[in-house]
Amino acid sequence: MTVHFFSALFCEAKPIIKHYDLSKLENLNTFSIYSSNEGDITLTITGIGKNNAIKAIKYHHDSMHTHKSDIWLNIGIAGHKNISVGDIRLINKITDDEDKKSWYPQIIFKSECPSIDLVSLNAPSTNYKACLYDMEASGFYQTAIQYGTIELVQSLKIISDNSRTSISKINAENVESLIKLNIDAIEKVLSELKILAKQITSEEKLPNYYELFIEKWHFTQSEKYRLKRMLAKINIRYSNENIFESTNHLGTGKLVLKELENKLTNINFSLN
Amino acid sequence: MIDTIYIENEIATHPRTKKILKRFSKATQIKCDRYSEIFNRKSQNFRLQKNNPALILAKKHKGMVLPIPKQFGIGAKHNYYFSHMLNCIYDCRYCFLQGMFQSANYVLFVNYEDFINDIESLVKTHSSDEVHFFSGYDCDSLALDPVTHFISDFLPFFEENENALIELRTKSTQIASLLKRPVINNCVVAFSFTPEKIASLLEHKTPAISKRLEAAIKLQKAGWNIGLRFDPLIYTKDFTDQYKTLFNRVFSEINIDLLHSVSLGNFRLPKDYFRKLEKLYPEELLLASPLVEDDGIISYPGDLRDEMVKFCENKIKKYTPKEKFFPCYEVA
Repeated sequence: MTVHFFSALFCEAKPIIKHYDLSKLENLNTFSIYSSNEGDITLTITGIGKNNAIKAIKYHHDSMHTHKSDIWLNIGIAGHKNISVGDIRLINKITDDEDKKSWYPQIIFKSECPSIDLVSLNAPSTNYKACLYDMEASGFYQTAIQYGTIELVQSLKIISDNSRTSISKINAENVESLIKLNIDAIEKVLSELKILAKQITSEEKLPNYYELFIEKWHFTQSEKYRLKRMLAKINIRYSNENIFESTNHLGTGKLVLKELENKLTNINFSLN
Repeated sequence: MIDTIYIENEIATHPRTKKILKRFSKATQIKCDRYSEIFNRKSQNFRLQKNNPALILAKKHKGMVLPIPKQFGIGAKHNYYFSHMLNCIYDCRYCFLQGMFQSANYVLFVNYEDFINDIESLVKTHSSDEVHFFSGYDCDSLALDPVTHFISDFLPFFEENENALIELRTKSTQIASLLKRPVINNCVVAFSFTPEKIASLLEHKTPAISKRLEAAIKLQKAGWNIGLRFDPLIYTKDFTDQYKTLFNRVFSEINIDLLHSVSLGNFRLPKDYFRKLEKLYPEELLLASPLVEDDGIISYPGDLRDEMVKFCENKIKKYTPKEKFFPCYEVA
């Protein structure tokens, strides 16, 4: 499982880069991508606006080879009518102001962080309402859910301006400090998401012995698919048996599949 | 219990919506245009959502009452099902809902009036025959009754339309609303049972078999028609012992003379649903059972199926007259 952070600006990303000790991947230039040494945490700076967010997430996916069990977090600043500057919110509904399409992030974990709806605008606005405003979340979300699992794709926004604190007062320095103040809250959300992510078994994970089978016998593509499914079940049902050893004498892949099928349809089976 | 409620704008002011929102006043409320924006989107994970499902309050527009699949009736010529709710608070590993829906969120269609209108037209269409309506296909009929008030809102219709019968299919012990109201003869409360050991392994978050049986007996004593549903039959090496114990227990405690019906059905799932379950629960032993595919349906091999069915049929028929027994499979 890898955690992928996305922020529009470097000043939003900087506290996260520092906190997780991320380094810039110099070989990737279209967007700035940072990664931990182990590769379990990555961050991409998307640039401002929906279209940049869409392009950046596609680029990130292509470059980092993401999985269904990965966590996708959009961290950034947003404006609101009266929520205090520095407060953090999870986003439970994202509406794109341009085409009025809405998305509904599934917050299925208990969180101390309240949730709210957000509208993604094409340009900054001071016409504050009872929802958050930003410029990237709709682009981030609609693209990230194409690659990730909906429940593991979330947007976290820190209030940077409201009707009392003007948007004109925002600068890189105070954005950085607003994000930094919320690192603990971000960590808490992340730890909840990690618990959920562990429940997803990556589809890419190969069952035990699969590679040995592929090496020893020839299987067509559809046979490989069958082999993968059957081996996964054999591993559950005959967990104490080395299935590679017990089928090692068979001459062809077809005979191996037949043997596995026989083992699985054997009615000597107990649920207890 | 419910942390998030999505509300379709169209039914935001419906009295049933208001009542439910009042009950869950602390839940986060999120407005939407159509429930499908949330419910069946791709890339959702049913297993993850089961951790904390949201409630979606919606309006059902069409296809409210539909004919049941073949072999699922309990004696009538005309049979229909309807789903005022999609999904279930329980988490049975063999359940087809996990394969059918992308989302584990509960959808409650609050426009009961429209369901009842459609049921009424079908009752009128078949005015000279008995018509059966099944309510527990896509949800448990009673499990969320304290929230949905399904019983108090639907049963008065059946009280006034005696040629219509409603089956409430359940594993729940939420029977207070039934016990509170006058009994009607054209309602069958049908409890699903599997042997205790199997239930504890596969029927997560459900009331224990003893509690279900207790609820069935309580209702029967109050005068309600009770049905017993042994569906799906689940295979394990000692299934004969396990099912024998279950039948002995159920039939010795329930009043057989007053029993409305007993049905029996095999474990079977459409192939696509089964494949989805394999992905959701790769560690689940049930899915590594001796199973075969036949015409797009995954079930036990024919011989095993026949053996299980024959054994259970023989046992059930010892207790139940032929006319009360309804197999949910082709009878040779």
